[in-house]
Amino acid sequence: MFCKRLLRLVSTIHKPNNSSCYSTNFVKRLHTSATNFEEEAKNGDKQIAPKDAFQQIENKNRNTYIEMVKIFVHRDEKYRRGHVEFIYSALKNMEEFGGEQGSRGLQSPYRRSSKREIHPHKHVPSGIHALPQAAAVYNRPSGTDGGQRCHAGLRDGRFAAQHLRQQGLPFAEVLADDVLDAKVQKPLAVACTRPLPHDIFDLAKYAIERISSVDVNSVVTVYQSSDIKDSIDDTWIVSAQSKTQRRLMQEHNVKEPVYVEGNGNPINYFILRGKPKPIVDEDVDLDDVSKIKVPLFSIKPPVVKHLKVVPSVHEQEDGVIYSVCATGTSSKDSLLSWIRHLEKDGLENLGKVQIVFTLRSGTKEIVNAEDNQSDQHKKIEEN
Amino acid sequence: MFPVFRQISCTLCKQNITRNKRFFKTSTSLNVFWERDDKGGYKDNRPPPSFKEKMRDGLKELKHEIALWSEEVKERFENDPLLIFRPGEVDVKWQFGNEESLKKWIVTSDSDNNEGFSKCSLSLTNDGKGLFSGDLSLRVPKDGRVKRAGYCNMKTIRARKSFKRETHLDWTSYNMLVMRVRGDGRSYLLNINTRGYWDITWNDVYHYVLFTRGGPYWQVAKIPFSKFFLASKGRVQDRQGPIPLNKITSFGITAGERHAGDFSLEIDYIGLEFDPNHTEEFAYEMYKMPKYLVAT
Repeated sequence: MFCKRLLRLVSTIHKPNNSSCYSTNFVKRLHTSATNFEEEAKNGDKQIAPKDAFQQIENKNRNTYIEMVKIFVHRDEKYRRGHVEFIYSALKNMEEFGGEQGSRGLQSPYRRSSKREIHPHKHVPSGIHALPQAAAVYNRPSGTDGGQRCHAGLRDGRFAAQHLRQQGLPFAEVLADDVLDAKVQKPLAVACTRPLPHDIFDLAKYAIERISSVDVNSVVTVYQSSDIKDSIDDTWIVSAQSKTQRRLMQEHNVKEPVYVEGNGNPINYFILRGKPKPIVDEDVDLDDVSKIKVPLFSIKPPVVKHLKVVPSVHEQEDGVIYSVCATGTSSKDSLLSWIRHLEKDGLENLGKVQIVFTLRSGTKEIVNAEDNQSDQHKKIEEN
Repeated sequence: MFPVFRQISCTLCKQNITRNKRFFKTSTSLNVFWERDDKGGYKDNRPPPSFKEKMRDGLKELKHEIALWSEEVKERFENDPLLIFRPGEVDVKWQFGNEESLKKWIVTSDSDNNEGFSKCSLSLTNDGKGLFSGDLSLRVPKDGRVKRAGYCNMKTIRARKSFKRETHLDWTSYNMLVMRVRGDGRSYLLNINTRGYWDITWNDVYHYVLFTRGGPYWQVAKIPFSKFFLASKGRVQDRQGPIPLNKITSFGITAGERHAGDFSLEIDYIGLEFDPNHTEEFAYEMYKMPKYLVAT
């Protein structure tokens, strides 16, 4: 009796468009819940969370993104069907909507969907990756791109504790991330600060400060190349020099040239370098007993002093570094202004020595095309 | 009777073999998590050498191998291993200086496997130092398979004895990794491979980060082995443990920062040191966690 009624119900409500559909999918048409009938009535709007919903939006900005989340939430307040697909889609398109890592608005897909009702309450389902929490875990690599190992939405520990099932995978990942963050970020004193400054001048200043942090006494000075008479460029020069370097420069033999070198590194900084000091490494055989000197029998005090001055960090094996700088244009003219500024600041030596420019890199063309001299080595006449 | 039975059984067996090799298995088999290939499917596409080439190269190798073997035998009879490791002394394990030293390293990047566009090389500088440099590209190839790209890697060849017998490096007497490097300000990842016999240990790598300052100054990085943490295929493992220093198979450096662009790392040497003041065994948590929270 019941079956008969059911069949009648089905046949009255579902009028198949073509007979083949009816014959093949007959069993599947036996719906008993009311929601299925409603969906069928909407004909065409079957997708719960359309995959390309975010891509279809023309005006992509932060507000429309948040609006999308709101629309999704209000459409199905209770069951929130399709939230996994929605989160995938939302996170995938986050960048296009101008989403910054860690911004509160972009956590909203998690916040909106991760409610207690839809969370697994047993161990086994919590390990199955079919819930919003799984979406959160799988999207972690996109979080790493911004320099964070964990996704921005899950960085907040309190949020994670409230919204993620504590026996689930994402929560474990959040915990592991927190632990590792604390451990690995300790030596970050040497690592870059994030985010890095956008302005080139600030970036250069930061870079030079970091390079010169090798010596605590380093002083970073900002010069203007236009302060030097006859300079062509008008740009800034960030220069760093320490007390030790000034002393080394003053000790420099005037007859020997100093070099202004651009590094082939990605970051174009320049160094003022002198020739390396010869390393006197006497190989003394400590086991040799044939030349033991007995002070009791010698009347004169020993002439040779075995104490040496510890070489400073600037005295490298490939040269003595007198100063480091970065300029706005990285041009030869601005570097010349830098040398003149250093000379003005009390390094009279620099006015007397030969300065060789060996600029291997630079954003601008360094040597004129008609110049017949070698590309790399150019000497500047003494003024 | 018997021939007929044999015929039937043979046909049955053949059918089963073609359909499903595991037809006769009576116990439950776990065929999900085993590693099929120790290179993870990254096969060498080069054609194998011909028989003639094999013979020629093999005989050439034989000369070196016998020399190596005779050294081993001599060492065995001398029986004079290093016993005292004085604090403050760095035992250099890898140093650059000639072309021969570069042959100990394998340099790879994602473009080698058509999984990206990064390029890198290991060369010698004018001063005879090693220069690991290249161009890190985060561009993902549009093949629908690769999600992320951008890494360059240098790795030592596997430690081995004569006649191509694989062995392990024994660093149990040391507790510090010492590197003299000149970086460009980027951070690099140090990898110590401890490949074991079983397939789950094939990808065991201990990592730590090498932070560089950048600039013209050399820096000496001393990293205790206790700081290295275990990861497998790039995933940090929940169950951690101190690095087995007698099971080291190779050492590597990865440039995999999420900032595209050129990179360069000059390396003078990579050595080991024993520092008696460092007593830490493992820097990370080792206490027992509640069930289902870790290693699920």
